[in-house]
Amino acid sequence: MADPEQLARLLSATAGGDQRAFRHLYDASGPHLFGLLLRILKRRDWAEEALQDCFLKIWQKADTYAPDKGAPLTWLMTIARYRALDLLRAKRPEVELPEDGEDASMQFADDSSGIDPQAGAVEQEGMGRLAECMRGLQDEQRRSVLLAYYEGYTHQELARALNAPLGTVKSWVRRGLQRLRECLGE
Amino acid sequence: MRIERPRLKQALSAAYVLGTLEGRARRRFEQLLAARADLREQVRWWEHRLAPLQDGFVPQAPHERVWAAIDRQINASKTASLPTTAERRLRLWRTWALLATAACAVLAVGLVRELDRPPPPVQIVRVEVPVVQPLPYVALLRPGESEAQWLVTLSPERRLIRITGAGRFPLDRARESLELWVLGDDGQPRSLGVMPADGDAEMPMPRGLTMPARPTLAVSREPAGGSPTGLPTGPVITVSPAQRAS
Repeated sequence: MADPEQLARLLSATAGGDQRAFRHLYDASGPHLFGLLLRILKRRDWAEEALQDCFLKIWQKADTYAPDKGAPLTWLMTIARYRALDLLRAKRPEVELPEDGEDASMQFADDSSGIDPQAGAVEQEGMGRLAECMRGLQDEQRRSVLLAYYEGYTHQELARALNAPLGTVKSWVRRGLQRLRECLGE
Repeated sequence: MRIERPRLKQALSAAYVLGTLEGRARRRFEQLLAARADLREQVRWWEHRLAPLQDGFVPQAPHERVWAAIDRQINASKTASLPTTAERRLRLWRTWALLATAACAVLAVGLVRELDRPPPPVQIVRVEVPVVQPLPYVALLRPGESEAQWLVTLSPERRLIRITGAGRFPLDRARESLELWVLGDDGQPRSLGVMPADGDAEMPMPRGLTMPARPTLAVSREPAGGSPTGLPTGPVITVSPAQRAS
């Protein structure tokens, strides 16, 4: 993991237009961002496109980073995750179903391809409070939240992956987030 | 989207960060985010709390061609993304010059077409003129690097300019003002007046101002009270064509 203080220095030099600092920033954080992008986008070409977008944005917006936005790598990864979600939705547009189209999701039922590769991730050490709160969720709620986070799944994709009606999945996500909020405190 | 209820605010912010706020709802929420500090705070709360999950992503080395592409692009746009004050000032004039050139080109094409056209046959046509106020010109002005945006509505028939503002534009108000301009068909900027410091305003259109056929609006930074010369003296922060709703 890259050293936060060094990343902060590189970000601030980048904001001043220092291209060598920017290259160092890319070397230090690029693989982290690329890992995230590959995981969510699944395709190398999309992940490369997204990585490029992210770093162009970072080049332009490095001056908007402030320590109150979190650790530098967290900030960079957050940019990457939003970019991945946007790109995913643009490249793989979802057929929009009406809100009450619960039944429609059932037709994917036999296509369900198992669930969460990374649900165990939160059991890793070092996640502290969040891991504790995650454990407090019902299984389905936790799976839904983690699949949405790590795979960028939409409600519909969650319904398919978890073999459950759309409305049910929506409430798993909503309640899961609600309970996390209560557990993590104000 | 009415999202004043705290629970709804929290739920939408959480869904935005997780990614399950989708489609148009997501776009609308993003627009609100730009204008609302309370929502940004909620979003940041969630980003911060969910950040430990980022450790679950496994780093992967990208191919060197990605850096090559980034490097190419930043060097192509270096001057554009890091303007010095002098460059900015230069770009201000370039902006006006370009817009003026574009306006001239449009005029020239129109003239050539007029000349080429055979004289129209004389016809007597009965025209029914509806007695309705014509629709106003509308422009959405969004300066980069700030959250501020202004919806400007010009009603030449009523000699009225209406400005609906959102977000704050960072400005030392004791020393600076924002001035609204319309760029005429001749490429000349004409002042429409000093913009209000905050929020909404209505102001009369300056006397003697005729609306150009294709008006373009611009906002520039000026000394407090507006440009002393009657022409923009500071950097232009935003430019947008005004469309007549039809």
